[in-house]
Amino acid sequence: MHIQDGDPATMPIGEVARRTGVTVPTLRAWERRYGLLLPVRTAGGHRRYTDEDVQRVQAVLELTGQGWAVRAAARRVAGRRPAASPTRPPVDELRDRLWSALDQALRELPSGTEAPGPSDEPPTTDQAESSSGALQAAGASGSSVRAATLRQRQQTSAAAGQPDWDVLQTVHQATRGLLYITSAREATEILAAAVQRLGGSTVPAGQADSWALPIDLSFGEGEPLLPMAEPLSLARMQLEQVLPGLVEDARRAVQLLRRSEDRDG
Amino acid sequence: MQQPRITAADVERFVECLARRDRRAAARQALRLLEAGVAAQDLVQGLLGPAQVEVGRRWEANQWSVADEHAATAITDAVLGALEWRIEVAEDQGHVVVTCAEGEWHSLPARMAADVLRSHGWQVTFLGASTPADHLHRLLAEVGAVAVVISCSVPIFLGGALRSVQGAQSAEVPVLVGGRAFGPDDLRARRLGADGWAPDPVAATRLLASWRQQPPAVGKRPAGMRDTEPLELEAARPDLVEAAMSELFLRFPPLAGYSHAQLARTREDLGYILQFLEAALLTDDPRIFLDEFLPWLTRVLTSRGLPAGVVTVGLEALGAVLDAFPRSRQLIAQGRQVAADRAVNG
Repeated sequence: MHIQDGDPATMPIGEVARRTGVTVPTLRAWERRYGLLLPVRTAGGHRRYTDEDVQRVQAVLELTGQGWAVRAAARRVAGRRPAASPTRPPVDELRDRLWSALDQALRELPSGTEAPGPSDEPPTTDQAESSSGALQAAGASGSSVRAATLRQRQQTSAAAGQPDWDVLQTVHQATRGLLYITSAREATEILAAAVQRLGGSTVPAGQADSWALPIDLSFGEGEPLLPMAEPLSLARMQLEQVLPGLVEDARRAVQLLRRSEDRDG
Repeated sequence: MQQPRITAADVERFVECLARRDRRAAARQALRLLEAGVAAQDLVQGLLGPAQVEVGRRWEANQWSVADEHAATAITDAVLGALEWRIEVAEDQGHVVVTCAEGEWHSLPARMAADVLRSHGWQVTFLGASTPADHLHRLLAEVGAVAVVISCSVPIFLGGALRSVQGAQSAEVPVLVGGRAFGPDDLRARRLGADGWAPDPVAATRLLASWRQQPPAVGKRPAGMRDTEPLELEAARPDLVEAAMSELFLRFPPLAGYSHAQLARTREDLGYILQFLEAALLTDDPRIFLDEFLPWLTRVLTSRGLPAGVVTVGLEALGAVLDAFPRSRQLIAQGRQVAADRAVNG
């Protein structure tokens, strides 16, 4: 059951997902709807994928990053012959560019809003813990050097697989906003604004349908509020990538606030 | 040392706080018990856990709306947050990562498990809801963890759990799985290739402690199912739902009078049936479909005023369009028998 990093001509779909950051159900939908992936069958009937499939998915992500609708991007890429995209920079180069952009942004933070970027001493206080703007941040209690270092690495690794600078910026702004909340309501508003910037919207839980993601943004105050986005859309994909970590950070910020106000004690 | 026990009346009072959506009263009650000497992990497992089971029951019985359920869960979650500060960590057992399976957004059970692990001395990194398997892989490849604990509550996300397990194991980190989706024994966990399964968080602490002494051979347990039918079924699901809807119009005349919203809900229900079917095939455990899902679906629909026979009709419509899926068709036939018996016997 291991994912094999080896022969690129025999990748299972999970490996394509791992390399592109697109979930398996979405890949299957893209394969079925747009013929974007062209698997070969093994003797046992299993579908296997190649580097070209990975490149086609990357090409779709690049186009959607430029504002193309997923349907249009996927149809365009699926209709392309593999040799027709020689001008696209290699994936590694894109990743390097993104990471240096994020690195730059973190360095340019105003003083006093120390982010856990490269530094000599990893932050060890609760404040530093909650200030991590990680895409995939953890809400670990028990502040320690190890946890802080972990966050730093998470940030790096999440950025390496995240193809959209706007997404990074949205998450970063939201996370900074969370440092300044004075009520749980404000955390909810920050999350709702981030969801909208990522192309989604929010809906009261009582009116939610199958487009809603079942993660409540209300933190136990006021009406439950759910994020929503069309299944298989770019907005949906982005929300699925960044919301778990962002909501976890927001929860942490709300907890810190409630603790400081000693409302629960 | 004799510890004060949590009574059924305590749980009832807590649920009433949830019903009134009174977060502070709920937190006060939990903290009073804590001050009276109840351990934090007992509060998690003896008060918050049972309260959430009751929340689910009230939704299932149509006594509470989806909004009520979300509001109650958010309050329990906030109370858990208040308890977290009071958990005293005695020793350092090591570092574990706790996360929900890819696609599983119900993070409260995973958070409860994370807090019980903390109270047992583990340093826990909690990733929250639905971590994409590739994120999990990259994270684990860079940090040293004794193990990763993957939580899954609803069986339809076991496919995501499989990807999470594989992502973690390809980073050479042993995987312990738990949560209601895995059922009453380790069968599903083994079929997904996990290195361990625990029925509850305390059992998880024991298994993790043994792994700390003797790490398991990662991913060396018997592999899961090699059959591709569940994956093919997943890919074909939207088309199958549409085909089954056409069948349903023939077999269930009242459908013609359904509103747009009711038709959408019917499509959703057919989709859920297929998703639970996929999970049962993926783990080769028909109990998911026959013993857990169908009785639950029947209760949910009948509590909302639909005749019990509607489940049987839905299964017949799906059975008629599953020619290309032999295992699915067989399981649907078994399910139809179970549902028919249930409809007859009440």
